[in-house]
Amino acid sequence: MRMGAISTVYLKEMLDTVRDRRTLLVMVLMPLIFMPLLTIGFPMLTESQMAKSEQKISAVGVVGEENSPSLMSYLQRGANVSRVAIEVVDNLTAAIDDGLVKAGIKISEDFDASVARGYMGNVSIYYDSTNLASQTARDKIQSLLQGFRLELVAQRLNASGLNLSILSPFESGEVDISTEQERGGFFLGLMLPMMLGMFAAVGGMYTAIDVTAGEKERKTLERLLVAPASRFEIVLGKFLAVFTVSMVSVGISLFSMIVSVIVGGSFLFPEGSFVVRIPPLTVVIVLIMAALLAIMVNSIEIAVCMFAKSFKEAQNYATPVTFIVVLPAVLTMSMPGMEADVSMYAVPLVSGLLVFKDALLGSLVWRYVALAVATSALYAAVALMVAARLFNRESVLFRGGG
Amino acid sequence: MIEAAELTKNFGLLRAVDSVSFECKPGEIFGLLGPNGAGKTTTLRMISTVLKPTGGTARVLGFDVQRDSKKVRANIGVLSGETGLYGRLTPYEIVAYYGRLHGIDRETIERRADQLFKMLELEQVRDRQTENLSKGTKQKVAIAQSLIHDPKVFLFDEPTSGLDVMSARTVHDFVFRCRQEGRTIMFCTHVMSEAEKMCDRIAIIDKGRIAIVGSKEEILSRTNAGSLEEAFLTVVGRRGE
Repeated sequence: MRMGAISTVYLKEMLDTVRDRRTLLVMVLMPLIFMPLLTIGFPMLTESQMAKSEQKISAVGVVGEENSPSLMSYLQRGANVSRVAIEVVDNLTAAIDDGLVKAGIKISEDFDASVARGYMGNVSIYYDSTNLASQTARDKIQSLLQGFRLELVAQRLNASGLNLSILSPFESGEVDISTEQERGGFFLGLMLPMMLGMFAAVGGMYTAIDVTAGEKERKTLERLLVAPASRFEIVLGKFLAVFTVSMVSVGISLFSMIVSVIVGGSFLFPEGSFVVRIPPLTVVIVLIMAALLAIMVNSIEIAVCMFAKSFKEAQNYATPVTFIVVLPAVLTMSMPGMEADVSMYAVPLVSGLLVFKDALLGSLVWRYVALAVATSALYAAVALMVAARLFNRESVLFRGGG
Repeated sequence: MIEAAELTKNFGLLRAVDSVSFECKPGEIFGLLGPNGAGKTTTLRMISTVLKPTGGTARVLGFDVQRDSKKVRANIGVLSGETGLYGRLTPYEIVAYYGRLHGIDRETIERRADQLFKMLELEQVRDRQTENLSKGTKQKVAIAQSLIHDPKVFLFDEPTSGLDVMSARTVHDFVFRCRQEGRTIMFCTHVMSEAEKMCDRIAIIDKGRIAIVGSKEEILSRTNAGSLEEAFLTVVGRRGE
């Protein structure tokens, strides 16, 4: 193996990549735009949308208003504060369907009579569970009815000479023992593993396609194979270029994310209970894991793209690879309260994402980190060897041609 | 010098090249003439070590294509009409890339590249991105690229396909020049007139087998044909029956 040949291939591929706008777009621009968007943009948008829909006045229909003047008067009094507008309608289902009202209540005929006798009255809430505005209206009705319920309970207790506090013998409060780092890390831990995994995979994808299927499409591969460099040297040079691009992409996304979280955190958590403190050692571990993840994914990408005859075909192959990386990330993140046991730290790709998460939560277990690093290094080496071996296979290099 | 002995290549069940033997001497243009799919490119790829023979052997300057594949590659230049170039690199960068892959030092690369660019009239486009060049100019860049390590053996695979008359002429002149310099030259083509014009000796290959080898005159007299085309049809037709 000659370092000269490897570095020659590497430098040429890097030069080619730097001049390729597509690669630069994916490698640099995407993380720079997506990170702030995902960390600050979307949460802020969701929050403001939710606030907006709560603030918006919801039309609420009533059927059977004559059955309880007292409830009607309570609803009218609370309408402004609860952001609802009460309207009497004939048919609730039709009124909701037609969009005249968002939700509605049907007061049973004997409502006032039952309540007066100390029995239970009955009110049905009508809403459309497939409509968000209808759900918001339902929630507003629920809280209005709860208020009325409490008022009635207080009246009944008063009549018996009792105080409302008889129903709540004690109060309970909450104390959050999580540290500021944990809260910041938790927020990051939701996003970062997926993003780092994605950019390790996507960042180098175009380069992986370009250095393999791209060589076939341009018909430069054969000329390269006739040079005295060995195929292993060639594939190693190509791999290093893909890896470099991936890591630059990871680096940019990491930087962009930390900056957006620090800037955006103060927007999202104005009470100042949010601090992102990432110790240098954590950054080092995150980068090592990202590198191992990238080696694995890049090798798989190179191996897969080598089969393809054209850029387009390679893209079709490489996209599922990206999903394979993102999917475990989504799963580990979306499983509520999932306690990862030690074996999970030996599962390829998942282990990396778990370590990212632990590092950000400040809860690294060194045994687990060691296991994750060792197994990932092994998988990465195997993936790279497979890619290199495939580069020796005539059926792969000359698939369907000559 | 190229020596092929019983060279055979199977792709799965298909025998693409079947026991092909020939010799190609320095200062000679040896033509491999045959229809598309006859096994010309596969034969060339085995000699250039890109494909491994299923059976038989080939030697280039005495180096076995399997055992000494690196030495073989260090001594051959390949030019094909299909050869592509890296569009985002400049002609100079492309030529220098192959120079470095051949282990040539920077100064030698610069000196040789300057000579080659002057010879091929590429000085004007030396630092332009290759994707913007005309097909003829690109083929000149490919010639420069294949010459940077001064190979003693040259393999041409349909080097003029898709080129206009002037560009094809440049390639032909280049092949003759290689012969003059005493290089060993193999020239694959499916164009009769090109084989007639270029080659000192011709092997007609069909369905993976060499049907006849000799100079044009020898082939004509052995097949009782009036032209190479007639001889070709006689040989190929006879085998097809």
